[in-house]
Amino acid sequence: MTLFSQVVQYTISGITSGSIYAVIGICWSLVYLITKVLNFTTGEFVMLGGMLTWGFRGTGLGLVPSVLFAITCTILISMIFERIAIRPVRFPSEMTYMMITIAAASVIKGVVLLGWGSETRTIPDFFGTEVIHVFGATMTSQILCVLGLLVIVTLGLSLFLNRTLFGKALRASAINVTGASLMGIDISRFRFFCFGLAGGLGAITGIVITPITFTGYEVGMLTGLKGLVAAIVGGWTMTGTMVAALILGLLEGFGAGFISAGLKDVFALLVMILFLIVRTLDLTLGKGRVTR
Amino acid sequence: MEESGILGFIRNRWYFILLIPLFILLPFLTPHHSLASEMLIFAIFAMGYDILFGYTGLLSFGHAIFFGVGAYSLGLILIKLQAPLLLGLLGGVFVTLVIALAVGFLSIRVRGIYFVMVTLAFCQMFYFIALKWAGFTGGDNGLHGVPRPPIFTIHLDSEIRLYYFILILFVLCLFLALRIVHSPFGRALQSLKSNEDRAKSIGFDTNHFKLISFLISAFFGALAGGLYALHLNFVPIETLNIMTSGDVVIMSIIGGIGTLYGPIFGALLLVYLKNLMSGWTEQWNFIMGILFITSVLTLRRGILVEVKQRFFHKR
Repeated sequence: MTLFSQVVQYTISGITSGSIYAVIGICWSLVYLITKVLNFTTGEFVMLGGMLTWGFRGTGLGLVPSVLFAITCTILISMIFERIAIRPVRFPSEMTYMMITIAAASVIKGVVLLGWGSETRTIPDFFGTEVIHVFGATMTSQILCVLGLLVIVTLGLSLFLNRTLFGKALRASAINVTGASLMGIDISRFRFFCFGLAGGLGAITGIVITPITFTGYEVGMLTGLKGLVAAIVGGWTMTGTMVAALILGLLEGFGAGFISAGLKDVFALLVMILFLIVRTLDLTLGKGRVTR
Repeated sequence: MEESGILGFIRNRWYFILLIPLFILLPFLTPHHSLASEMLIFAIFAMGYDILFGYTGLLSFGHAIFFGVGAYSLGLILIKLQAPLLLGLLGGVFVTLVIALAVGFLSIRVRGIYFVMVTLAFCQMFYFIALKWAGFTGGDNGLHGVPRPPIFTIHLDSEIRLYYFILILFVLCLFLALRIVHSPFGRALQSLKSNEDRAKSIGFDTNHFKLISFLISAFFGALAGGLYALHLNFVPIETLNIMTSGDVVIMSIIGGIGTLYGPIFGALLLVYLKNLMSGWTEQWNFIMGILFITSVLTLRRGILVEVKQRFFHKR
């Protein structure tokens, strides 16, 4: 393999994982902006999407119905979760919400582990396994599906958020919850809806990547965290999250290729630590204290 | 009228003396002696964590770093250097404090949920380092063969003796923690928790206080980790896993944060429960998650505080 085709190969894998992180990051920000819940079950919904599809296929259903069932189930689980564990919290704070979602993630993981064991599962590629050659690098049609997903999700969401009344109301409540509810927007319905939407998007992502990366009860945590890194670095906006996620994916792809595949998972965390800490640095260092 | 200061605190809670025989007899009440040691170890860990979380208000998800690094460094010092026990404990604490200084220095600048994220990321990084650096740490298998050298002339090879050694350290830690919490310094920490900006405007160097609080709780974590290594005779890699951080957070919240005795109670309770269900380790995270969610939804301030409020302060 020449250096050029290697670079192409790493770019492809980087963009693939970047698109995944972008969609997951959008799931985090959808929920966080409207409800102030840092929803750690996001990653688990990604896992659930893949695992449920695998499970439904095991009962003899075809690929399309099992995908649809899996998405519906995840949306329902996400909404039920909001109803029984997030809404009844007395004296809510971001910390309490976060702790609850972490515990809930552990519960979901526990259920999947009990039900289906700890083996890795996979589902077949959607459109066969032919290999496409690009400049000496190879890719499968599934990777195109992932890229298609990112395009569809971002286009769909931006159309929804900018062109429909419901979407505009959603954006308004993300900017100012109190103001929006004073204007007669039913925030509690939106919270319910956002959890459902994030669950559904997470499930779709999980289903699309399962043929490439496989799935198992514990994949949710790390995948989810990387999406969160993208959302934080991207400043919780959709464009920002996408750019950050693609950079993160490319960094991971090239890091895994040229430095060490084992350290792949550390890059995302390093990026987040550096980003969060550098952001707080006092850039007027040495010019004396700045009074605020 | 509550007296202030540590003496007043103890005088107001004289009935805690009733707990002394319980702690002395604990190893005979548990299914096996070593469980009592484990309970106390996590109680020390949770107690230190409460100084950071309950009193200073910093929710750290990186405390497994200190527990794990404490355990690993004690293990490595005892194995590689054949050092005596006290030196091992001191060395473990020292190494951990150096690491805590670096991690704390970087992460306390970040506030709110971002602090949680940074500490969580640090924790994952340390976990990966321990996992990949298998030649030094034993990687996935953990660090095996940690000896239990005698302390001066007293041998610690029986579980009972180890328990009483840990009990002594536990009592010392408890007094230290009470002393810290009921000092002007402790009050300053609590002011950070209630309103950091106001504390800053009064003239407190908040980052300085946060860092010290971070180091203090790292000290407790390191001690607990070291004792854990002694207790198991090996260091599992799970000590560095974020699940360990999660455990201590859950113990603190279930017991009731900001009270010291709440997290201690939470730790004793959860470690005991975990052992009861040792046949179902796969289900443990699931059960703990359910327990935690119900506890946050129904007993918001922790079991002990809620029980006290409902039965002793009838309104």
